[in-house]
Amino acid sequence: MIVIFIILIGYLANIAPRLIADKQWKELLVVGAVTVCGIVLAGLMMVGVEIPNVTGLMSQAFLKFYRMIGIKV
Amino acid sequence: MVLAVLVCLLAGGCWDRQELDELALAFAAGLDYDMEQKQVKLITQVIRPGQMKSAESGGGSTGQGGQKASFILESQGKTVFEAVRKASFQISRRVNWTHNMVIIFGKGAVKAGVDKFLDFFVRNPEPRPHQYILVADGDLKDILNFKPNLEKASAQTINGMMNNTGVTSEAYPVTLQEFVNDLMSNTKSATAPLIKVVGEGEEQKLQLVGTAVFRKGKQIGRIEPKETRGLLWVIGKVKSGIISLPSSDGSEISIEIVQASSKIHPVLDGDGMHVHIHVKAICNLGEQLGGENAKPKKMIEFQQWAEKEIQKEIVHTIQCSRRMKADIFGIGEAFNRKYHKRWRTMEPKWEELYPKVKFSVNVKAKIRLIGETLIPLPAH
Amino acid sequence: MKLERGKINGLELTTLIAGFLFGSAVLLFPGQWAEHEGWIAILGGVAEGFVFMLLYAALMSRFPGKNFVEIAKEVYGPFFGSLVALAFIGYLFHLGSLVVTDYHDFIKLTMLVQTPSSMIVLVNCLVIIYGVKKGIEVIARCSQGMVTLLCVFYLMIFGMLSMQIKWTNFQPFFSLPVTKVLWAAHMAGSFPFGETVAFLMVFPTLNKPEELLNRSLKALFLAGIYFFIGSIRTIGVLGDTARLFLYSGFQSGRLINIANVFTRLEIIIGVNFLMMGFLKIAVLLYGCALGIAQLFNLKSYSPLVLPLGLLMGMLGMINFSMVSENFEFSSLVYPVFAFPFQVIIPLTTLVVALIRKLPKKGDDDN
Repeated sequence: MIVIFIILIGYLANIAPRLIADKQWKELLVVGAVTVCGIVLAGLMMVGVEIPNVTGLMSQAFLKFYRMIGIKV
Repeated sequence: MVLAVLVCLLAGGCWDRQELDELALAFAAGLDYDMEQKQVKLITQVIRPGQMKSAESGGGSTGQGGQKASFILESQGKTVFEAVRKASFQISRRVNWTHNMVIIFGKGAVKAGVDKFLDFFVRNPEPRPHQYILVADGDLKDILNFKPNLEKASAQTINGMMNNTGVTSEAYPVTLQEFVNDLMSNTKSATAPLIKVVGEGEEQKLQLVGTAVFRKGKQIGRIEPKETRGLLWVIGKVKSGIISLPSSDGSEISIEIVQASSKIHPVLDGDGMHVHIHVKAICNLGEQLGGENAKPKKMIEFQQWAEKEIQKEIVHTIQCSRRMKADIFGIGEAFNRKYHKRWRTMEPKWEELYPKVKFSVNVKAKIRLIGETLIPLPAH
Repeated sequence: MKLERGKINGLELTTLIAGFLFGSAVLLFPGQWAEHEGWIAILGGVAEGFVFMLLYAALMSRFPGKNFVEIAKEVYGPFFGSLVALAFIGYLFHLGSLVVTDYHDFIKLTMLVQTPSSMIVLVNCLVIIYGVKKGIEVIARCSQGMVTLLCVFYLMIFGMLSMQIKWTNFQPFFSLPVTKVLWAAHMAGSFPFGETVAFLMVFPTLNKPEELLNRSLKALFLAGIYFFIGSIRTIGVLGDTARLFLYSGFQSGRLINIANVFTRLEIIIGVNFLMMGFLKIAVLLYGCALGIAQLFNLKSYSPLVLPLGLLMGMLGMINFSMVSENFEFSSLVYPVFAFPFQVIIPLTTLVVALIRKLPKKGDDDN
């Protein structure tokens, strides 16, 4: 996990200066946003924070909906 | 960052490396169950991989000189998996189940119902579906502790015996895959061969002594080796074997079965349930203890006798199964396949309906080859 | 075609689509819900996939050389188009993470039991990221070799198991309730056939656009035939126990035993999965990266690949709290959840385009 974290930070550090130098602001914004998301997530997972299981929760919601409309699951 | 990537690429598989000299291979498992204590008793026959190759000396490779090649671990737990892990307290290495050949059930397990104990072997990715299932007739520990003459571990002996049952076709070698398939059926009675240690002291050997018959995982009876062959005739699993018949002139002959096949035709009509069993056997004349020459007329007589004998074997087994109310042939499943709609009402009552099924057995035997001689000894 | 300058030829497209379809389905058995009638479900799934493909091809032919993000922006206008495109990309991203989850679960169960999840996912994703960064042509060319290999392996495995197939396992015919088989068919239709919607991002790279339908349908039938063969093998060999196992395709491979010499060959099925999983995730990652770059009018999609790929991997790790949730999701929820993305969005786009009489001749993006 720590490796992913390091890779992402390293990547951002690598690519940001280049984009700034080329004055590619939009690219920087988008790439930066995605990478920062990754860093945050990796960081949280590294520290041990319980991330909610996205698809699992969605699945539960769907199943609740099925039961509501009468399908037996 | 490149360094990080390199480290990952190199180290990725290292976590799960399994060196051969760090493993203890489980070759056989004996499962028993203590009803009072509600404990699963596991006996694992473990092999030391290094010792398996050291059988250089021609005779006397009983391993008395060096270390034993196989030994057993006894452990118990509330579940099979717990017992499996507890066995590791007695051994220096991790037990690996990927080479397990045999699972033997003890008396307690067959009384309690074996289906639940198999969950570990099916769910866990290590054990494989080709393992043979047997039931111990007698002490489970004796069988697993048995030191064979030809092999390094009794598991190999048992494995070999299972592979060779085709020689007489008087035992039904069931693999885990087949056994589980049978257990999943609501009507078919699963079967597994019985094995026991016979003889005393130096003269001990392992022997297959029949077949255990189950209902819903619990053993309800047994059938003898000859009767097992009847079962194999019906399900078409006879590979070879000898049929010994008295000839009309008083001499004995041996017919060797070369190939056999069977067809099961269920018929459901107003008259009730019928099952037509057609068995085809191709045989050779194996031996003649005196008597007349094997002329075609005589051969036809032999054929008819063989057919009668095979039919007798099958009918006898059918009667045994009727008495036990155990559908060991899978007749219920045959009805299910053909008459599915009506089967749904029949299925819950199959235990009562099965003995009422009318069987008709039709055997066709053909004796093709007669070996290398034309005249039986003594040739006058 | 501003962002993607590469081109792939017809054969590469076929093998790429076929590899994508094989994806996670070589391991799981798309018709498992229908037990011994799984083969019917697969035939139904192929038919459904066929219809989907016609829809996608129709959309593509209306807007030649444009990928879905561009089409959405044109059809719905820049604002709503971006929203639709974002939803679409989100679906691709999520799908990619689901394949990563499958990958991870399988490898963790059978091969690398003690390796930490993040390592498995990381190594997996890095390879895919590298591939996608190199470009779609590279992936397409990889797919040629991989899919050929897969076809050979598949037939080999089938041959080795053919003697163990019990034809009675397919009976009783038509005994399951129709609803069950229909649902299984729809399950097969949405996974994996409907997922070819991802190719709406890849199709424009075809060097001969008129061949699109031809090549895609070839891929569909190729995959369909192989799944059918696979279902015959799995049902025939495992019988009733097929519904017992999570990875029934893999389990049927465990039974290969030729003369006691050729055993333990189920690993070939694992290798198949590794190869095809790579292709599938690669295509999905490519679609996401290209889509986002297109959405924000970036100069290149390449810098997005790594962060997106790793994010996909991380999402793959946290998707489910347990494998049974995954199973429940794939059998009960996914066929419904995916339907809007696989059918409704492309269909609505096509209909709106027809209504608005788009594309107007000689018109650029709005």
